[in-house]
Amino acid sequence: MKPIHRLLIALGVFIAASGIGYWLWEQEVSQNRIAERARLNSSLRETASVVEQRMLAYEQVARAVQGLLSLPGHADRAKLQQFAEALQLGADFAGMDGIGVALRVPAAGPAGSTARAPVVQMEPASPGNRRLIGTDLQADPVLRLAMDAARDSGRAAISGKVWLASVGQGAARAGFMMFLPLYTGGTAPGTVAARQAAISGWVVAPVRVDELMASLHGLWSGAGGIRIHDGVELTQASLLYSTTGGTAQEGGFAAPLVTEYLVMGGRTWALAVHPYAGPSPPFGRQVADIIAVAALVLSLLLSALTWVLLSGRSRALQEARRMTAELRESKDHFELIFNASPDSVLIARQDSGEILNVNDGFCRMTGYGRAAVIGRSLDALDLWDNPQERERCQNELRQHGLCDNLEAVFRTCGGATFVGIMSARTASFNGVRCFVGVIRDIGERKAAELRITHMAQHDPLTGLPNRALFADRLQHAIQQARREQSRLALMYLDLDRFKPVNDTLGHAVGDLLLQAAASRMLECVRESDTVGRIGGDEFIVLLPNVKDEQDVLLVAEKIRLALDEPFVLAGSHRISVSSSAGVAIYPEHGSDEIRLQQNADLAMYRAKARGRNRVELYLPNEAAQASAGSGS
Amino acid sequence: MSPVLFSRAASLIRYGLCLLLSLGFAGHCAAAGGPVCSRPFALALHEHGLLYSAATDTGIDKDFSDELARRSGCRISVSVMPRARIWQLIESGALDFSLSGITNEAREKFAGFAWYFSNKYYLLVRNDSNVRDLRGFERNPKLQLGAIRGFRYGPSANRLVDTLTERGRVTYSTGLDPLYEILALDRIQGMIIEPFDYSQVAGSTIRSMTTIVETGDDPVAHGLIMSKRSISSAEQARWRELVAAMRADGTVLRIFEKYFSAPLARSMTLF
Repeated sequence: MKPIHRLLIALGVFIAASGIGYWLWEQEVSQNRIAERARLNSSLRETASVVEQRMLAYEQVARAVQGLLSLPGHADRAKLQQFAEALQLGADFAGMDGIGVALRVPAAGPAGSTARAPVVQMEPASPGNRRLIGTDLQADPVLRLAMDAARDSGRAAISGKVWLASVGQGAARAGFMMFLPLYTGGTAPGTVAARQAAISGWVVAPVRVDELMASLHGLWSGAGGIRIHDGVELTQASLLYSTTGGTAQEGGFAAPLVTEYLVMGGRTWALAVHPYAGPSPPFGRQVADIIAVAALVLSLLLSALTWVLLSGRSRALQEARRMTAELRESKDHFELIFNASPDSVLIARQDSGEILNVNDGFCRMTGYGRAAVIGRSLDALDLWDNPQERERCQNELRQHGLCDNLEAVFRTCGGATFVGIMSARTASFNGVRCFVGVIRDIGERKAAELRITHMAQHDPLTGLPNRALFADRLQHAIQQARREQSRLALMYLDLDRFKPVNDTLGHAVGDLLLQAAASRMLECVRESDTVGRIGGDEFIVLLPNVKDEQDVLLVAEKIRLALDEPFVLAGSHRISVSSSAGVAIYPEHGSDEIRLQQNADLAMYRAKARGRNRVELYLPNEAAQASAGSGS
Repeated sequence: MSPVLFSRAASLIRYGLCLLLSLGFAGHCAAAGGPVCSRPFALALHEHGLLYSAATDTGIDKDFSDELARRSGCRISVSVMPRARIWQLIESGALDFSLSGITNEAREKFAGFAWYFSNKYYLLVRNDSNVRDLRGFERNPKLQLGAIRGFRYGPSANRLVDTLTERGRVTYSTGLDPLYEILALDRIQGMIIEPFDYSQVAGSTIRSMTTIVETGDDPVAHGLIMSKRSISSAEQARWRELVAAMRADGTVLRIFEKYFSAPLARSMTLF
């Protein structure tokens, strides 16, 4: 997988996890919003209910005054004052500035002029209430609307928003006036027209909304601020009360969280809950934030984990591919080496001897085809020329787990043999105990060794044993003769007039002459005899197991005669040489090789001295005479 | 003393008093078989379209309550208050009667009913909301429903209101008029209405911008609401007999014919 693909998958995981997180967050926010809205609704409903109760309480006070004034003979100022004092309006009536009476004064002017309704009494006689005395309430269209509604319905009605002077100080406060109609005759007539005709005045109660709401302190425990508007329009102009004291933005207040509409005394109030503008978090917001942060963190972790897993898998695959390639390469190398080896390699089971594999070298060396041997038992191949060597190898493998450089003769498929050295090791392939055997063909090496040995012991020109080999054979022959108490003869032989041949015909012809002479000498002796060349034209002959001097001299004479025959060399050269030979016999002429050689040499010099082309037998005391002669 | 025993004792006392008073104050007691006027009764009206208008002090419920007082001979004090408060007072026993009420499982526990008309509920929706049925309104999360506190409707309409309340998509009012106003201001996009509300819809700008959608509910019976805490079962039976008599002699039909066409009045009262 390419890095870009891993990146895309990790990105996909991040997007999916973030999406789920976002969905959870949105659900939490939505649930919070609903729960918050339900809570606000409940609080708002409770608040609205209490406001209604308070409004009913105001109405009850107004009805009490209405009842008082309806009683015949009781509608005087003092009675109302006493009644108002007796009411002892306390905190439960907070907001109601006072209770009073406005009497309807029919229009006295020209036609079209309207009736008036001046306030004639307002209790208690506070400075603010005193200012109301004489005020024509009908002149204010907002108040007149409520007064007409009260008149027509016979029930309490409240006005729209009006500004009421505060008690003693400060600016006017937002409020409303409650009206309850007074009819001539006391009770409300049955029809609207009759009520309009019978209206005589109104019980008036100015109410300030901020004080009304202040008396309900602690009731509103919602998360937002509450505003009360006169009517359904949520504007600054209609604002009666606000817990936050905020003002409307251009175009009105922002959309409230929850709104409830109250219908009281013919007016509608809108109770609107607005969110806090401050830093205080809304209900349940922290949980949503935690979810959002947790979702983000988990998304990052998940995508990182995905990236790591994908990368790890990719790395593992790369590593596996590399190892597979290396393994394949190693296998190829092994097969190359296995088959390229000139040695014969075979792998066979230890228990059954079943051949599992052989290399090309094995096939070349033994002549067997690979298919012909794999699966066959090694014993069935008859590979060993000597079964004892096979046993030896198997024993070493069993005992030591290896078999090193065991030289043995092996047999090929065609029955031919060759010398090899075998090394074997036990091994395990796929849990099967096997051994690996390597056979190296050492036939050529053995031949080279023989050649070197031959060259070290023979004269390269004639192929005859040289002085060293001859000395060795002489020593052995003397030992054997000593053990068997038999006799042997040693003959020294020198070609006569050989040097002129070399000088006149060249060394090549001289060499040919030496080779031909050696060949004639070999033809004259037994197989058990030895002819050697000890240098130049000097030869030496060992004749073991001789009966007597006659036998020896017979052979020596035979050699002399053979060499006395002319040689035809190089096609045209006819060369005539002769030979001078001296013979010493063991044990008569010497008990060791040195003595025998000295005595044979003395005898040969005597033959040369007596005219060459002769054979001389060592004469006893000849050595002493020679010593004496040489000494004289 | 348990409420049941108390109720039975009060009933016996009332019968005894009635018997005693009937000797000299026959006019204060109902005719034989009618409700016992042992005390003044309290009845509350709520402003709602043609049922009652405080501005004119007229309406079906006003006429019905007048007839109820006349026939029973009992003194019935009539007041006007929000519907939600009426149900609270009926449950507490502070209020004896109200009118045009419908029942449900919860209300059956504290109120008895004497049925005198039935009507269907409808969904009034703004045309620009593209709503053709109740499910369409429910599916669109942007739509807000207006409702009057304490009101219940037919099964489908109730389900809609309850579902939307859970989702915070209901704006409440204690009266009908503000709902029309905020419907026109697009603060709400729908409201449940009854035949009593047709005249207000037909006579205002609301008509051109709204559509009436069927709820699929059958007509729901409406009747006199009696507080079980203040009116004994026996007395409730007497009031039911009185209401049944009003239906039987055509009084209820005549009241409805003052406000509806004759066919609609007949379909609402003859059920």
